[in-house]
Amino acid sequence: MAGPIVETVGVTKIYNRGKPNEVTAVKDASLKINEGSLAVLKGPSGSGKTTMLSVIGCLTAPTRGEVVILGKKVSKLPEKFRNQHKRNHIGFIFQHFQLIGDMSVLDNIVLPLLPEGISPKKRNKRADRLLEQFNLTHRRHFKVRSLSGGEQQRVAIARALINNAGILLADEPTAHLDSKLTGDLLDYIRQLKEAGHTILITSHDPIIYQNPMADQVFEMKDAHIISS
Amino acid sequence: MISGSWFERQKNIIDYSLQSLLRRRSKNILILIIFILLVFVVSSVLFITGSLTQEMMVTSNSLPDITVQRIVGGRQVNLTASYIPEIEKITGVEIVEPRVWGYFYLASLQANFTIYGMDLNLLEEGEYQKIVNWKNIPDQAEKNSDFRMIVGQGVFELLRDVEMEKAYLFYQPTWEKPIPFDIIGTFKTETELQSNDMMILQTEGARRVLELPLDEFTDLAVYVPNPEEIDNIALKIRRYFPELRTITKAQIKNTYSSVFGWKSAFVLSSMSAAIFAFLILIWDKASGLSPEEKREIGILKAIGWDTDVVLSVKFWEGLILSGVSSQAGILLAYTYIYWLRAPGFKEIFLGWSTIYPSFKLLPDADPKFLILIITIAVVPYMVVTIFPAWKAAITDPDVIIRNI
Ligand SMILES: Nc1ncnc2c1ncn2[C@@H]1O[C@H](COP(=O)(O)OP(=O)(O)OP(=O)(O)O)[C@@H](O)[C@H]1O
Ligand SMILES: [Mg+2]
Repeated sequence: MAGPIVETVGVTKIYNRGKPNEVTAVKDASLKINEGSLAVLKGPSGSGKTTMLSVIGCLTAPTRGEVVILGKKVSKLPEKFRNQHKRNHIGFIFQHFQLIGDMSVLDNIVLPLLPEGISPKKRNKRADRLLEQFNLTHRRHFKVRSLSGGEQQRVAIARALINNAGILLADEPTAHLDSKLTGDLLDYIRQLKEAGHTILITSHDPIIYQNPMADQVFEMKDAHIISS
Repeated sequence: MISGSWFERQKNIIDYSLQSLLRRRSKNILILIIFILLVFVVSSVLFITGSLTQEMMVTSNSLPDITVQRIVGGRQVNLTASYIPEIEKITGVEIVEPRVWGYFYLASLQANFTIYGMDLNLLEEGEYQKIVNWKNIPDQAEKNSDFRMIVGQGVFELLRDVEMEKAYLFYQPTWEKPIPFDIIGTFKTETELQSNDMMILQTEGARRVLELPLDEFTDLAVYVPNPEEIDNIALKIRRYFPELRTITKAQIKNTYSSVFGWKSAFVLSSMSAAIFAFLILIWDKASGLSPEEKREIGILKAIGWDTDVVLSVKFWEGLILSGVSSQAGILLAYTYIYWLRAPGFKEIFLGWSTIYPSFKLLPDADPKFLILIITIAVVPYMVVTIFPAWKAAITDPDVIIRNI
């Protein structure tokens, strides 16, 4: 298999630096994720998994250390270029989905394309493929608020894929699902992996980190990566 | 990764802003209504003041340079023609015209009107011809009649209501019989404010109606070609004839504009409590973001929107909302003042004068002034709304995303 597509080198993230509520959420974390692999980041609550994912997903800059994505040191880039890189290569599936409830399914999915200046016709064409893939075509014009949890998660996945990103990051994707929906999700993950996506999932659910699909498992504890 | 055009990108952003305004319909409709009311009130006051002042200026241009009155016991009384040659002797004075005018209570209309005496034949020539809508041009026999008059549009409409639009019968209980006057024309609207309640009668007829003796006049109109000399000549007249009082054109203009300026300040300040309440309401609604809006900004940033794109969404939202409502407010004020003739409002401004329902205001919408109102309404609103959006947009989206 190919070399690392995502690499972190000694990443440290400190929140509220210099204030009484200072927290070191991630300390000196280094990892390498190979192209096309399914990687899992596991660990107890509060160990820093979401923070690690946010740093890799360019939602926040690390306090120290480097994040390299597709050979580019994104943590050193100015916000605008970092954002550009993120838009082109990373899709993020948030733990609470973070959809806009009073907007339709379609409008939510195409949201990342608007600042790219892509015409409604083109973006709807792309969205239609994803709606089909995630069995949402019949919900196309529904307000997201009126959807079930499983449907909302599929909308969130479709939105993460609309930019044709190669790297997918998902934060606790099974946290709100029952066993049937968890099974469906695993199917979708398999499909995406087979389609060549590199996937990084944080989870403390054994069904994810003990899954035979998982190529790499990193364990976090007290802000450190303790094993890989 | 497909890259689109700059134009398509702007279109997408504006579309999104519109959609976002519509999604928060109830909040934005409230802001819209308050905003429209606010702009409406302020521009109504400014419109009416502007238009009245302008109309006063138009009419006062036809005023004499100096009006001379005779005062006895603190009251204005009639004066004789003997002053005319004396005043005409003062260097700088071109001509002195004796005038005949007064007030007359028209019982059938139950209102006081201003009656002026004048040689109406003069109105058929030159400058004056343009300000009169001539009715049926009188034939030669009527032409020299003493009982002809030209009336203001307001008077004319009232006379029409009592079916006397061709001729009016002046009457006082002390008279043996009424005196009929033919109406040969009306004044055009450019001079409406002052001429609205005005009746100009052929001098001889006016003397009969006002019961003014043949050798007496109400006052004198003094014309001075050089405006620089007006004050000086007025001073000389008062010095030579201590019983005379002078009023210059500039004094009248100042009185008009200060009366209107004072009135608009009065109206605005008496409404200031309401205006202030409106401002607070808008401030409360528009400034600061609801947790919902903060979350939305966080989501947009988290999925890769740049800070400047998020801000341009907020910019368009603010511009559309405040632009639409300030223009709607101005349009409403325009309709209210100029089409509906400011019911309930003009009385405040014209309470000192006799006003009739037919009073019409002249549109006086200076584009510079419109731009000013829009700027005053839009710019602060944009600042108030963009600032919190900017604060939310520069925050790392991971923080917003966590506060669900
Ligand atoms: N924005 C922030 N400001 C302050 N502290 C934060 C912030 N984000 C995370 N933290 C703290 O950093 C630590 C790591 O949090 P993080 O969410 O990364 O853990 P986690 O492993 O994802 O936990 P969980 O399994 O419960 O989701 C926690 O102590 C958390 O309180
Ligand atoms: Mg977490």
